[in-house]
Amino acid sequence: MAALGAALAVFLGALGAVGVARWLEGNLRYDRGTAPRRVPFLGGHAPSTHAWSRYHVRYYTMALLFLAFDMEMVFMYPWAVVFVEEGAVALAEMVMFIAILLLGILYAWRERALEWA
Amino acid sequence: MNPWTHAAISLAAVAGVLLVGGYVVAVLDRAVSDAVSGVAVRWRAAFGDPVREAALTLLSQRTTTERPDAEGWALAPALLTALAASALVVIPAGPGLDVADIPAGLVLFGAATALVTIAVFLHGWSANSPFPLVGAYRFIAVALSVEIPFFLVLIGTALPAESLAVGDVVRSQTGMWNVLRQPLGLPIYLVGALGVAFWGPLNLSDAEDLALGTLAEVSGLPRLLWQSGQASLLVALAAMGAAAFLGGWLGPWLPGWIWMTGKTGVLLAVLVAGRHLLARVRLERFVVFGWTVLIPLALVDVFVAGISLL
Amino acid sequence: MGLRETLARLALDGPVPVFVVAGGGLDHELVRLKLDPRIRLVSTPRSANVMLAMGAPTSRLLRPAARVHDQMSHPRATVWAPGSASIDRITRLFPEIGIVRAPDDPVDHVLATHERLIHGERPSEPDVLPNEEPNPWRGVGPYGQGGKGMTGGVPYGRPLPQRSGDRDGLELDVLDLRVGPFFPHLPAGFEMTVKLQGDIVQEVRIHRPPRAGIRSDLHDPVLQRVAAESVCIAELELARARHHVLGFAGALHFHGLQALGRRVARMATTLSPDSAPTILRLRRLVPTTGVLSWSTKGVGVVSRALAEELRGPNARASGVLRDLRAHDPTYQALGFEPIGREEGDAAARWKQRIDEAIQSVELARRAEGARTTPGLGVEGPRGPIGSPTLTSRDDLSIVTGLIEGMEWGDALTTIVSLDLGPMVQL
Repeated sequence: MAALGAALAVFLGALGAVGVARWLEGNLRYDRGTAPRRVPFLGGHAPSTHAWSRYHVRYYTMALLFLAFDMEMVFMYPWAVVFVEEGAVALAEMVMFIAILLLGILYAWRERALEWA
Repeated sequence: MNPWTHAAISLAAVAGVLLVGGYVVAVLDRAVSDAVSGVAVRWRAAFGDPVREAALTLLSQRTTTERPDAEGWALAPALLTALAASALVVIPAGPGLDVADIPAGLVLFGAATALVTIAVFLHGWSANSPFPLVGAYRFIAVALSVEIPFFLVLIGTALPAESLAVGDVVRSQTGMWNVLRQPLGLPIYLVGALGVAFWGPLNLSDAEDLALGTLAEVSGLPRLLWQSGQASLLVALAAMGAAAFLGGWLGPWLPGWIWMTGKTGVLLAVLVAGRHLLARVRLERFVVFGWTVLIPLALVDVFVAGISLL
Repeated sequence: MGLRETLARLALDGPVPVFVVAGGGLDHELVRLKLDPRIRLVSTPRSANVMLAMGAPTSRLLRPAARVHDQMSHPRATVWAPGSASIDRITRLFPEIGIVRAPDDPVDHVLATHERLIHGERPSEPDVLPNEEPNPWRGVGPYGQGGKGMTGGVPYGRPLPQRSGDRDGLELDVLDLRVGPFFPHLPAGFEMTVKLQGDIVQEVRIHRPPRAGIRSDLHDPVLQRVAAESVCIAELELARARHHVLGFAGALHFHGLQALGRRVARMATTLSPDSAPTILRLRRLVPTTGVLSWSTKGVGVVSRALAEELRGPNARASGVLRDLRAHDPTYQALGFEPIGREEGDAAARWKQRIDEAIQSVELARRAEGARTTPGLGVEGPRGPIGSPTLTSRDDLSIVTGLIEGMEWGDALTTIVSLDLGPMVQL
């Protein structure tokens, strides 16, 4: 528990230190800037619209595929710990599981779901 | 030990490692840059310029854009640094010489490096400027493509250790380092590290073709914090690479922490050299490469590691 | 001593971050500036303290230069190297500007300006453009957008992007951007209006220079003389090699290999008739970086039919072996034969240009005292010199056709590889 506490302390401490440095600097000499200084950089012209938009994330099919594999990774953590104990059974089970997922990648690849341009 | 003292010492140790490590990254970067550009390495400049550059950046005023997401923009570098620090806590510098010997250390490391995605995305999104925004979305594509092989090879190192604690992973390499036992592991890990740290050939989010992408609208202290956060992340990634594949503190004659420092330095040098010797990849080609080459290879790595233990 | 003075003292000796604003045709000057260890060229004005402007001030460039100037963070200063042009229009906009005339080195001037700026002896320059919001505050809605919700009215300053359909049936927003003339790595003065949907270039319009009839788009003095008078073939060929090698140095920087780019640029400045082995070694080493494979292979393929409309190395990289030198008896006597490739992609264009540089250096070694014959027409590094050297309208429509539908990074890779030359002459 002490170890987790230390980890949390480090996370919060680093977050706080950097956050406070930025906040302090901002308060010491904060300047909202003039209108021409706030214009986003495009190489010499001002943008005509906001940048925030309904952005076309074209790799969304890949992102969905990622979800499946991310779950698989969660299963693999405990599997790795008990692997030596369980032996061949554990290996066979995981190979089957992964093989099914790999078929998914092959299908996605064939359907060109990983490309978008 | 009093938990507060423990926390304070931990924090100081991590801060020290990250500051020194980040400086080493900056020095190595200049030295390698000189060597690649064909002039004699100017060591004085290599050691001095990072400090001078930081001072100049600090002198410059920060910029803001029209209607940015100010809170998100402030949070991004803090989150990046905090995640790098959290990734570092689980890595022992010597036997028992760690901040947090968590039984599931690899899981915490994985979680911290996965959340870097949030920090980089926030950094690009918050400016409300077109090119940083494109950089932000690009990073997600890179991160989603490298993270699975990156974690898979780390899981591979947990198999012989029968534990997810990084200390146990190091101890399991007493006979033979994982870099030899699982030869596919370290290369895939390093590719993943380049991707996670948006560095070198996989720096697509802060790239030259986007006028530095998520950094395009950042100056002054926030710029310095972002760059130091990235350097911290590289340090954490190199340290984990040394622990998981190069036998961490294991080594003859010298004390363990020196071995660990040396091995981390070697991996840092490899990562920095990669930045100067490898051209930026194309996003789409890399996504396909990640899914159709890196993931199958990482699975082969895990299963070969498994079979050798049967 | 205060914190500010300590930082200022520390900051002085390091390389000075400079954002360069260059007019058309000055790309090679830019590469030379990248070689200077005293300064550090940066890709966004946000990280620069000094703006170095090069070229004569035309109205098309003054306003964008002012825009970029105002985007720099304080403390900031400007140095302008106008060549032989009059400076009245510059000083009207930038009253405190430093002007550099040949033969003074602009870099010396930048360093001196920077030093005074950091020490506080020179005030940071105020904005050039008026301090006016793009859309005034309307006082309605949480952000004063003049409407309710995220999409009502104009949210603080600018309208939201408009939706547009796409081939996948989704209707999502399009970012309409006017990029350039000082966007890093695009040819100096290059301006285009791009419709970005996601990271894909849906539509592009390249802005043409207002005046046609540009005298010469090549910076090298030999290449400027060659149309009018007879010059030494050795000199001409070395200038051609220099053009290609410097161009490649810029491309290396664009692809993330800044240090290697510096090495190659230095090689370009020291080319001699005996340099062929040096370039050949470069040609063998560079592929290990991936810049000719994973970064450029298959990007921006110009078909053979399209290449008929192009000139110079761009055409030859797609298999159209047109070269004026092939019909020149002097060159024929030197054993010249045009070289070419078939692939026509960005990688092929770079390989073509490096190979031509090697060929040129070899020619320079064999040429001895041979001179060009005036009136025959001269093949320059981008195609025939003398006839209009400006990239023709057709070329531009080819570029537009090539990059539409590409990912943004690939589109830029294509433009960089095409060696378009100046779109705007300063």
